[in-house]
Amino acid sequence: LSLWGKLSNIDRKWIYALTLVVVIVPLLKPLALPLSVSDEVVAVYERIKALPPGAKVYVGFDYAPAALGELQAQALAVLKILALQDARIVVMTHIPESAVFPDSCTKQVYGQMGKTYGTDYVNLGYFAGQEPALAAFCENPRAVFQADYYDAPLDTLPLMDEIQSIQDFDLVIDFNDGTEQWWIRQVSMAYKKPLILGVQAIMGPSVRAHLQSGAISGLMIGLQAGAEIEKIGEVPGMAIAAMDALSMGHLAIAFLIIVGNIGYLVTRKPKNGDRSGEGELK
Amino acid sequence: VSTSLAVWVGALLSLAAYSFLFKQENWVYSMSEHLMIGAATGWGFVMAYHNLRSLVFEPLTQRGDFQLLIPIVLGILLYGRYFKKGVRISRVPVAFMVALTSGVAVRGAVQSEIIQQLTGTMIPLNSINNVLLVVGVLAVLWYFFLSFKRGGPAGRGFATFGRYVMMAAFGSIFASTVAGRFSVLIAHFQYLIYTWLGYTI
Repeated sequence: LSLWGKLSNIDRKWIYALTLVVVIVPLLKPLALPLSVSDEVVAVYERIKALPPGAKVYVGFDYAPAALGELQAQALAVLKILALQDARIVVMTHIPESAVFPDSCTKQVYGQMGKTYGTDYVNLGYFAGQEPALAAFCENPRAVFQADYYDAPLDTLPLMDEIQSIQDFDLVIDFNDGTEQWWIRQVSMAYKKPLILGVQAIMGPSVRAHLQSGAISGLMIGLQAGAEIEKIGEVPGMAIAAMDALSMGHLAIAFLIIVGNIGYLVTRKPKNGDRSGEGELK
Repeated sequence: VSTSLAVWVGALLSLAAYSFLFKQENWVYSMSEHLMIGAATGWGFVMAYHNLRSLVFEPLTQRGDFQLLIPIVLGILLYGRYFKKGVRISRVPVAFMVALTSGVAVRGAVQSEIIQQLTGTMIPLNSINNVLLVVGVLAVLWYFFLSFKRGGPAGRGFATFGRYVMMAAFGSIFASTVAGRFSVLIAHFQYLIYTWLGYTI
């Protein structure tokens, strides 16, 4: 085999090893690569900063543990900015195994900043029933929840006295790993409420169409947006610390794609329409 | 190094899961996989019990909300599929759920998926981005006109351009996927390095 042939057949364990090195080294010794803030994230930040003190904001934690790495940093940064704005929040999730996220995030941010549970923030926990239940929640939250995550009746929570439907929120923010259409349909389209979505990177290209069409008011995509919102909001967290590793990871993948394609072009034998490139490798 | 038992359990199970990369189907990996499935099943059971208690039993027994009997009966009928004679009756709640979900979804889907997307494409052609967006949409639509033959070099060329636009979109999605997977990996290594091992920058 030629050099390119050998590179095309490289044992995948070497790729794993390269991935480990490019991820771990920047985490141990940050490279301080520059980070610019996109217009999309600036728009989200300005939208949140425009909220008056005491504004009521719905925050959805609709991501599974597998998306934690991408969306938790966004969620924590946005919660910190909301808390600094003195916004009051209601949080919940439709994913059963994610019920711990609204709890841990609100305690980590609102709890540690001295906000009062029931007055400044409420955790409704998990709701079953998917999109029809969300539609019911938008019309009347008490149709879905009788009590909060900690089993306290909603009537005992002062913040919930001010919320009779989704219309009573000043802003709706949802961190989402695949059911963003529910919120677009039931919140943005049905009630014309301003909706900001935080989504995984893979969802970015498709959800961005809804931002361009005006169906949503703001969009944060992946870990990159998490780092950007941390930077512009001056609430540094884990996303900024991860950006060097992410950039190095992208460089490594780009390098492997280029090497792989050169190897393919050099070693392929176009014969009788055969473009598989396997001729020489065999 | 962390002194939390939970962090240690999480870290060791993470390493056990990563062992799959270097030796597939080894016992350490299998153990972590089975533990995850068991824990997820247990958690699902707890959440189901919590839902039944808070959404069904308590409203029914404490507030006398008897309209809940309708979804309770429909829910019980779902289990008819486990009996030969009950398969037909189990289709009633399924039909109800499909109709309800479709009906709820449709009310916003037409607006967000069709009307908003159409109006989002009706934009002034005063920038390169806008021109690319409009021409790209038209080219892709032209590519999928399969009812008649796209005659002439111009017709075929425009369809080919539509294919290239889609290729660019697929490339964008693939790159986004890479970014997403790296984000997950990095977050986990942050957990291992900073939370478990206690390394500080």
